[in-house]
Amino acid sequence: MPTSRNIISPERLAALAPGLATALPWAVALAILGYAFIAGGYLVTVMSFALIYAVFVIGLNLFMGYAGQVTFGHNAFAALGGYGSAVLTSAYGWPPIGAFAAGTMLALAVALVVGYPTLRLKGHYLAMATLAIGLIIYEIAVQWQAVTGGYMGISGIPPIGIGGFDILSDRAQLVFLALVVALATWSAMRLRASRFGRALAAIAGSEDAARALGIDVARYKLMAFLVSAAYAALAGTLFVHVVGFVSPEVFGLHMVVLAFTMLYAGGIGTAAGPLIGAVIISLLPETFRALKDYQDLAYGAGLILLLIYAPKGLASLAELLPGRRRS
Amino acid sequence: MTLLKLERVTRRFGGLLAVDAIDLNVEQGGVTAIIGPNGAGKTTLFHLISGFQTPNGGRIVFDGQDITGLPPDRIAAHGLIRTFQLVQLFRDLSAIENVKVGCHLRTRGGIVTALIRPKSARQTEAEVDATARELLAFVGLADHGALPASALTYGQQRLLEIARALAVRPKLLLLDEPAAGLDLGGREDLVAQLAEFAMDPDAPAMVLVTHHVEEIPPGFTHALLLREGGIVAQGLIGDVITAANLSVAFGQDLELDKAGDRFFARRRAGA
Repeated sequence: MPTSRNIISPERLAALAPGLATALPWAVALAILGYAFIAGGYLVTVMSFALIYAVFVIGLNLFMGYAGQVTFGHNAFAALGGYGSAVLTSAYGWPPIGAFAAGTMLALAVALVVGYPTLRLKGHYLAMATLAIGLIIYEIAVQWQAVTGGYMGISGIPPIGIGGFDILSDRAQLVFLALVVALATWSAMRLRASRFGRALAAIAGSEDAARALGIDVARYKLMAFLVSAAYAALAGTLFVHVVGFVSPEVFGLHMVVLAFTMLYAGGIGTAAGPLIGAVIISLLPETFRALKDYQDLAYGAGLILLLIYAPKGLASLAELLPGRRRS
Repeated sequence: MTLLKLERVTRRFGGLLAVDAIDLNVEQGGVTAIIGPNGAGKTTLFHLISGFQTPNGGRIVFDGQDITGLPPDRIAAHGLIRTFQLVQLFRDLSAIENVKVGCHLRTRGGIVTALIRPKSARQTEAEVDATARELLAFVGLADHGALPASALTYGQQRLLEIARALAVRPKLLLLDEPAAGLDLGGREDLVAQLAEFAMDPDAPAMVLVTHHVEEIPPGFTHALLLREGGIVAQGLIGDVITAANLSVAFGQDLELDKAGDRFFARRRAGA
């Protein structure tokens, strides 16, 4: 064929480059997960946590990255989902799937109560309100001992099961969590590529312009908030079933800090950002452990450098490679 | 038939009467220019019509429905679309995605549709894509669709904002100083585009705010001249845009030239 000799022409390579840049973060995340699966042991546990966090961060990305809003209290929705599942499965013998549904409903109800009044206001009211709800839910988890077990938490939570088969081995759990993350990523990408997602991106760009084009800004913000709360509730549920234990500390404010780090390091507003961010940030403490006392310092410095030189995070690093800049 | 009717619309800011009992009629397909110096109340009037501010008094009727005090998105849903004095694009989105957002009101579908993506949704999406490409080509940005809006020149951003507004298929388009910040070439391109538009029977009715008579496109038939929130003159453009009226509105002795269908004003020599 006459065209075949052009296959490796510079034009062809240039046309392939965007595809490669997009695929690279996925490939890296997949490679690390694959290695963990083969290597087994402690790395599987680290990656399982990373995948659970990835679900949480995918939801956060929808609200903060796509819709451009701020929330400091999504740990509350993870706690509601997690505790809902923990209590209903361990104390009342519910199947995990039913407990998950109930926990998510609870999280959505609370998100609606917090979000409806505050999302109508411009400015940082929602950020403040979410910060408050995160602290309130934490306090409830500590104080309502009869149900939550207080600081001692709840142990003996059954593992995830599908149709009578419990997923027991660490490796099986990793595969299951990878499938959940794939589904969560896929759904978030579909949402972004739709009329709904375009409306969110419009709100992030200019609320006034969005309103002038007929977008009900408060309504779309609330929907984005609820969807991201549902992802958070799912992450909370996954956590308690995988670990078999829950205590207030699990869903403390540090969860928000860690998730923010993953979101910004991975690439806020990108499709691959939450996954690559969760995987890499989960590995960092292991990597920096050799530095002993200085590990927090190195960790912080690395993060600042990343945000300065790649503000869109790891997911967009490949785009910064030489030769990728056009015009 | 009257498309937009303002009856004694008033807006006060503290003791300041920004818009003082303004009456205005815009016919179906009509083209009106609102002219006046800074602080005459032009932009406030736009905010009141488009719902970004609420009048203290008076009534606004659009397409037979009272829209006074409705929020902007509800007013937009009636087919009344505005642009902004300072371009308000979705800067991180590509040019074509900006225009696609303009199709929001004409399409349906929420979270469930997005996830399931039924055949009807794919069809709609293909139509939205085609509409967006058409409109980009219409304003001369066909080759710039993939660029982020922030990468366009200011003149291109102005045109993109208009293309995005047209994607709504509005009945009335409010243009707030569309030529502000453009260089001479950009201004002339825009005026030519709007002139073409003013003659097009399929184009929406337009109300254009400006404080330069040079920016009034040929083909605009009516004008409203404002000063300090009140009306100096109103009616057919030839009767309103006169040296005497402009001198009153802008508070200095002005002379006016007319070349073709364009106006040019300057201070009278020796005045």
